Amino acid sequence: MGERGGMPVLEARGVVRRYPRRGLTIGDGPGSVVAVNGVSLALADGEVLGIIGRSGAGKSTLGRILAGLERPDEGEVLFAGERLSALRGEAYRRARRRVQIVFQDPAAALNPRHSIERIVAEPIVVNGLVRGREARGERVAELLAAVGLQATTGLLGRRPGELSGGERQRVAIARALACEPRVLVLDEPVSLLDVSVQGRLLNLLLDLRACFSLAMVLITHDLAVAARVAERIVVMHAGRTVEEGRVAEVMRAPRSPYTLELLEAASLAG
Amino acid sequence: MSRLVDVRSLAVEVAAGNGVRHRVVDGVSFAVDEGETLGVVGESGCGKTISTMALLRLLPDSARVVRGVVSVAGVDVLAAGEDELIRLRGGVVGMVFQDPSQALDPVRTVGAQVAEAAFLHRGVRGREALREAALLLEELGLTPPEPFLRAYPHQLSGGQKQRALLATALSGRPRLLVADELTSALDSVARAQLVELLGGLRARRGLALVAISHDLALVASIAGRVVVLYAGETVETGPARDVFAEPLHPYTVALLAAAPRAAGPTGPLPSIPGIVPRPSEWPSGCRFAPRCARAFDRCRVARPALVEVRPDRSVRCFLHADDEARDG
Repeated sequence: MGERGGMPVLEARGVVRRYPRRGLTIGDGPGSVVAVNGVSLALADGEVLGIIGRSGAGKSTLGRILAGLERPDEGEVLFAGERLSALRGEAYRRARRRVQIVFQDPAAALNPRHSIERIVAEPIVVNGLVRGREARGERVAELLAAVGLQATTGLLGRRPGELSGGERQRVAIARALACEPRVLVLDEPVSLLDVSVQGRLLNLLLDLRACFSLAMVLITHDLAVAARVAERIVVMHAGRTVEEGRVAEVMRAPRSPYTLELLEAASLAG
Repeated sequence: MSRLVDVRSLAVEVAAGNGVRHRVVDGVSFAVDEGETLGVVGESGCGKTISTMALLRLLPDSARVVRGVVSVAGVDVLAAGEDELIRLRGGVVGMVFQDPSQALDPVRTVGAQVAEAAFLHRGVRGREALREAALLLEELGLTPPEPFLRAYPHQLSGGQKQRALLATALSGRPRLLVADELTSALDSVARAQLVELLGGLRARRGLALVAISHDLALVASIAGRVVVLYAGETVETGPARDVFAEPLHPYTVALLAAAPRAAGPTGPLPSIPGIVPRPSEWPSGCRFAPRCARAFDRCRVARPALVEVRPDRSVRCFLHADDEARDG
């Protein structure tokens, strides 16, 4: 928040999430895994915050908690200053609708048996956002256009399996936008895509942010991706935040060895 | 240096559901010398995986090589008998694929899977095979090796599985390792570590390497030479460093510009408009012309040939073929 001032749109305060250990991982002890271990962060309205870290750092768990898909064992998530855990009924549903999440693998996130039209229209119907069949159809076309897809009858009737990976991810984003969110949590949105498609999708995110005045949480292991889109980054390791700051400053003078490691890995690739 | 792999003018057709046959690879050529590293680069749907599957005749039943030469260690792969193919697969060429969870057998221990190729290709068995497997796991950074030998794949992390898979591919002591999107499923730090590990392995064993990836920058950090594929054909080849520093084909240029780089500027990235055309929709002229910012009339009607425009640099593009014609 800091520089933007005002009340953060989304905030985590001392969030902890534990999972019981399951199966036998090599070098395992008994007890539970602390996936997120006391994380606090704040997202200003319209801000893009990158959460970076290696696999297993707790990024995705934090993302799920921020989006309200999981409840923290300790700590609080606040949307527009209100504690999610204190909200009930319609107020809770409204707050949840305003924070949407887009996952890494759109093939797994979209129902393979539903048409693209149904996938994008469903949240509009469920939340009662646009009434009337015709108006809803227009809204679906508008959302698809916003993510760079043309709502031709051909596309509307297709199933996710008939689209390319990049197109599927665009549909997943259109579905998230259908809820009229103020915050989009993006969990590794480009890591499964071809390099050439990654760039276009990142550009789309920048455009969407401007058009819809969205705040975004971009979760990625790739510092290069975060550097391209985010203004501020939080570096996570073993469930904790180990560094936080403006992207350019963190990249110029990383203070944590874990940040340095990510920076070196990113510069090796280019 | 002696030639280990020679693929020339490869064309592969795949039967679609309705009985129609589509050409999915048409005009792929590349060669690998003993101990050499080659990177194969292109977007999804360019024919990278099909081309390398053809190397060991591992194509699915629906696919058929309709033209070209595939030679591995002097063996004509397309005409080879079953026995010879079994010797090549794992014994001369080891392959590792993108998703280690699918490539490893979930109900057998890592030790058994690593020891298998040593037995099949070199007749090493029992305790000796397990001892060798332990050394191999150790070399790949799975230390101490004993718990890993006894582990089942689901007990390993993504990076550990990838190393276990590498061990199964190396235990037949192949002369060439083919790695298809080996690092795509890993985080950036694990990726960097694996690249370093591969470099060490190659140096110690004199192993040749074919690395397949959509990421040209990654490939350039591993490979000595690169082949860039687009829509089923080779569009550019040359020393990795040169191609990376000065790409000639507009597709290679665009591919490099499209990748986000930590050191790069912020804000919008340049991008390649459109997508790789499906094989049934390949244009009759240059296949990249519809997406190419520098295309001119001739590109849309004639198909350029792969031309050696300077020593060790070949490109399939009229922009450079014309240079050649003018200069020559």
